[in-house]
Amino acid sequence: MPQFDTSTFLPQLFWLAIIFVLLFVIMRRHALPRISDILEARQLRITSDLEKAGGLKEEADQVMADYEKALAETRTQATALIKQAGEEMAAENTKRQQAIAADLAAKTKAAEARIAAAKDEALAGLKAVAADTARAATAKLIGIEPQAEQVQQAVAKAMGGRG
Amino acid sequence: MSRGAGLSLALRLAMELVVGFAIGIGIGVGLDYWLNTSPLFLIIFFFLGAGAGMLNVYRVATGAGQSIGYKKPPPDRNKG
Amino acid sequence: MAAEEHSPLAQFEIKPLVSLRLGDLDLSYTNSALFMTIAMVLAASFLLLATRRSALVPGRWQSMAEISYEFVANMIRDNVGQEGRKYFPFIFSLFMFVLFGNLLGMIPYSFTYTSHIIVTFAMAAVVFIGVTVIGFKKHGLHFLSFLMPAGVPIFMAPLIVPIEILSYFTRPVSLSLRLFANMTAGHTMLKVFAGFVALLGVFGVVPLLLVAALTGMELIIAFLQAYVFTILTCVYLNDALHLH
Repeated sequence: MPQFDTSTFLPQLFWLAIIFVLLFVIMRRHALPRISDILEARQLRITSDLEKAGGLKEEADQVMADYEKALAETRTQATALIKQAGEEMAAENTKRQQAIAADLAAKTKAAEARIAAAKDEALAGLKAVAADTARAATAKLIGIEPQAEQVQQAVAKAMGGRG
Repeated sequence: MSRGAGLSLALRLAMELVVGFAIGIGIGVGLDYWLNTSPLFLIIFFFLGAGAGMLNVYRVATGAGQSIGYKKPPPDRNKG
Repeated sequence: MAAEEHSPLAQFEIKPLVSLRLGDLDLSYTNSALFMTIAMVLAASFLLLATRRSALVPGRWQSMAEISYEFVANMIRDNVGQEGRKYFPFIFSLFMFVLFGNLLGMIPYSFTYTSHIIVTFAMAAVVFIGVTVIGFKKHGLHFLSFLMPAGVPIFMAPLIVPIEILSYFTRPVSLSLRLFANMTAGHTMLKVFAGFVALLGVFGVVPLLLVAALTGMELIIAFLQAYVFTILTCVYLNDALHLH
């Protein structure tokens, strides 16, 4: 086998040493730092991107929280408004009812007054008619026509407290 | 384990054994040549080489890999 | 000569391209060195050109470069841990060098330097010596305690310690032998079956299909062996850094 020809050992070892050292130096000085720089830069970029995404998410969460807060505020405001409106309406109702009641009472009073007036008038009319009738009846019965004042007094006396 | 992997393990074990023997015999012959004691060291190192070869075989076969000692390597190193 | 050319082993022959002598030493630039150079240039230009624009969103080439980077980085993280980061450039270069050597060998009429025992052994020896030095640097003489596994009775020491030392020294051999044997066997087999195709003419369809299947398997093995070589380096490094 050619592999065991010892005369080939020295030249192979000599060039192996030179070439391997050369490869080692190139790898160490140039190739490997470059790759590790790339990998590090990527890692850094990923980390910063993640951080950025985290910040954005926080911001979004903030916005969401603000929105929720505004929503809740609006809701309480609306509830308050509805309540207020309800109260106002109830107050209006009461007021109107009171007004109606007052109106009714006033109307009733006026009607009662009118009725009383009419009664008085009627009574007064009745007195005059009674006096007239009494004078006429007296004249017919006894032929004497009494004085109007006397008759009226008599009628009033006869009717007494009535009227 | 596939057939190829089994075959390669078998070849590896055989090689470990042979290398152990070869190193032992080599050292024995060398010492005899140097000290003119043939065949004393050849015989001693033949057995030592056999021991070393079997030790290597034992290590490979038990999964201890090439590590020194008889302990198994930590599980995360079993890949080698 | 003709028979030599068609031998399945002919592809492993070293041919000097530029003769170079330093006194008695033969330092010729051979076809092996040529393919090492090609692998080095390809690996370097792949990584440098792919990352030229440093795009945040990677293109196809850039993501391939990134995947190979992360593949090795994960291997080190899983097998060695944080302390292994220091050795990343070396392990990455090793992986690329072996992988490109294996893959280049798949091209017909090319040369596979990882099918040469001296090349794989040199790489394994560098790993072995480096790891041992790291172990002694980190733990001092305490590193030797791995020679005596915990729980072994003391009277066993005269037997266990030499065996453990031998076992330790088999590491670079089995590491280099595995890569060498896999690449040599695979490429020889491919060459043999390819020879059948040429020999059988019209009836060569059957071996041709076989060659196609073998080529696919060889591609997987080319990657797998680079992976195994690298991961065993990681395992050895881990042993040296973290004593059991």
